[in-house]
Amino acid sequence: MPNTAELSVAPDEDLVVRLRRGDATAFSVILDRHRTRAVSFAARMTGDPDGAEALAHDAFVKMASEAGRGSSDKPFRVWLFSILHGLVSDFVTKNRPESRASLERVSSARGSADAAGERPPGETRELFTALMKLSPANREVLLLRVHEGMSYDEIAEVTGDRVATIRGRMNHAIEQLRKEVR
Amino acid sequence: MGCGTLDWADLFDHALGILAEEDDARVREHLASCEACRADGGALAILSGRLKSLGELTTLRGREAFAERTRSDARAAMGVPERPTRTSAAWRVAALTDSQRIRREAARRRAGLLRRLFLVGGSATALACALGLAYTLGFVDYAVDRWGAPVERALGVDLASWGLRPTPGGVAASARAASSRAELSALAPAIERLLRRELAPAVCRTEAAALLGFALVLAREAEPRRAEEQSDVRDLAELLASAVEAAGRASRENDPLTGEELECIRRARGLAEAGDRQGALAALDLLVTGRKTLGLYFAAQVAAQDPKGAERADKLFAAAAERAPVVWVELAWRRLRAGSHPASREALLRAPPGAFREAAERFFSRAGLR
Repeated sequence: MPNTAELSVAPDEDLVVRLRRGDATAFSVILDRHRTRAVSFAARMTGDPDGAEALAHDAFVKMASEAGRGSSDKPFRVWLFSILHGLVSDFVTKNRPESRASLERVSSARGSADAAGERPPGETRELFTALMKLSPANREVLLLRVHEGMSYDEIAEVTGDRVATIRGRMNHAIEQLRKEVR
Repeated sequence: MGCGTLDWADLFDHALGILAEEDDARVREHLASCEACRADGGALAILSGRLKSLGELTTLRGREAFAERTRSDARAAMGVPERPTRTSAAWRVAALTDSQRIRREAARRRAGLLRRLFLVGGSATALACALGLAYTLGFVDYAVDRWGAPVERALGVDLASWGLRPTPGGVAASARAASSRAELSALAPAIERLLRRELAPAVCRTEAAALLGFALVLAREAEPRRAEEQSDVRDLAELLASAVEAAGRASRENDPLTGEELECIRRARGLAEAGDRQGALAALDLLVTGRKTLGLYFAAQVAAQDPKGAERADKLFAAAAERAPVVWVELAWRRLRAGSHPASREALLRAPPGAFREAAERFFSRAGLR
C-alpha cells in the first residue's frame, strides 16, 4: 500500500481508481490537490466565499459518494467540475441576483489579503464587476477556459451542452467584457 | 469584430496561448495580414492578461476547517465508519430543505398563476358561452323585451339603437320592403317581440298591444297557403306596416292593467300557442268578466282559433273594439275572411280615421269590399 508521499505525486486518474476502491487517503490527496481550484471557481461563480466553501465541500463529498458507487467514468477534472456545475447552478438560481457579489468579499476571504487590509485595485475591481455582470452560463465558460484551461470539448462535457453552444457563449462573454472594460 | 474572418473566441484563445498549434498558426497568419483583427487582437491580449491576474487575485484555498470537515464527511460517504460533521450535515440538510422549499414555492406560484389564468379564462369563456347560448335560445331577447323598458327609462338609454330590440318603424320598413309572403311571415318574431314589450308592466298600451296582435296575425296569415287570395303582397304588407306604425304611435292607454292581469294574458297566450284554447280562455276569464279591453281582445283571438267559436269571437272582438276602436279593423278583416261583407264594411267604418284605416280600406277594396 503506497504511503501519502507516493500518492501525492500519483496522477489524478490513479487516485480516482483508488478512490473507487474506497481509499480515503487517495481522497485526501485529491482534496488537497484540487480544493483551491474548486473553491476559487465556486467563489468566482457565486461571489460568495462562504457559499463557495460549502459548495466545494458538497462537491467533494458527492464525488466520494459517487466513487463508491462507481457511477461516473468521466475524466477526473470533468467529473469534479460537472458536480460543481450542478451545485453552483442550484446556488446561483437560489441566490439571484449575483450583483450582490463583490470582489471585496472574495478578496477579503484570503487570509493574507485580509490581514494586510489589502483591497483590490480599481482596474481589477472594474474587471471583476464586469465579469459578475455576465450571465452565469457565459461566465462559467469563460472561467473554465481561462482559469482552468479546459478545452471546449471538456467544458461541453461539464455543462452538458454542445460545443457550438459553448463557443457561442465564449464569444458573447468576450464581446460583453470588451464593451464593459475599457 | 475585426474583418469577420476570426471570431472572438479564436482571437482570445490566441491571446491566452491555448489554441491548438494548427489553429494558432492560422490565427497568426491572419493577424499578420489583417490590420483590423490585429487591433482587436491587441485589445484582447490586454484583457486576457487582466483576466489571468484576476484569477490569481481571487484564488481561494479553502480554510483548514473546511478541508477537515470535507475529509470527514467524504469518509462517511465512502462508508468508512465516521460521523458526519454537525456543521456540514446541518448545512446540507438546510440546503436541501431550502432547495426543495424554493422549488416547491416556485411550483406553487406557477400552479397558482395557472389556476388564476384558468379561472379568469374559464369564467370569460363560460360567460361568453352562456351569453351565446342565451342569445341563441332567445333568452336575451326575452329579457330585453320583458325587463328592458324600465331599465331603459331608468338609465336613459335606448336598447333599440344598440340593435338589441326591434322598433315599430324598423318592422314597418321591413314589411314595406317585403316582396313575398314568406318575407312578410318572417317578420312574425320581431312583431312578437314588440308585443311582448307592450305586455310588460308599466309599459302596456292597450291599443298598441291590440294593433301588434293584429299585425302578428297578419304576418302569420301571410303564408301563401293561408293568405287572402284576393289581396296581393303589397296591400297585405302595407296593412301590416300601418298596424305596426299605429302601434308605435299609440298613446298610453286609459284602461290600465295590473301586473297580475298582464301575467294572465301572457300565460293565456302561451297556452294558446301550445294549442290549449280552453286553458287560455280560462286564464283570461277573470279579465273578460271584468271587461278589461286586452282580456276581451286576446280572448277573442283565442276563440277565433276555434272553428266553432266564430260567433263568440265576433262578440268578444266587438266588445274589445268598443273600448279600443282600432280593433274594429281586425274585426272587419275577420268578417271579410268569413265572407260577411256588409258586416265587415260596418266594422271598418267604425274604425278611427287615419293612416291605418286608409291602409285597411285599400286592402279591403282590393278584396272586393266597397
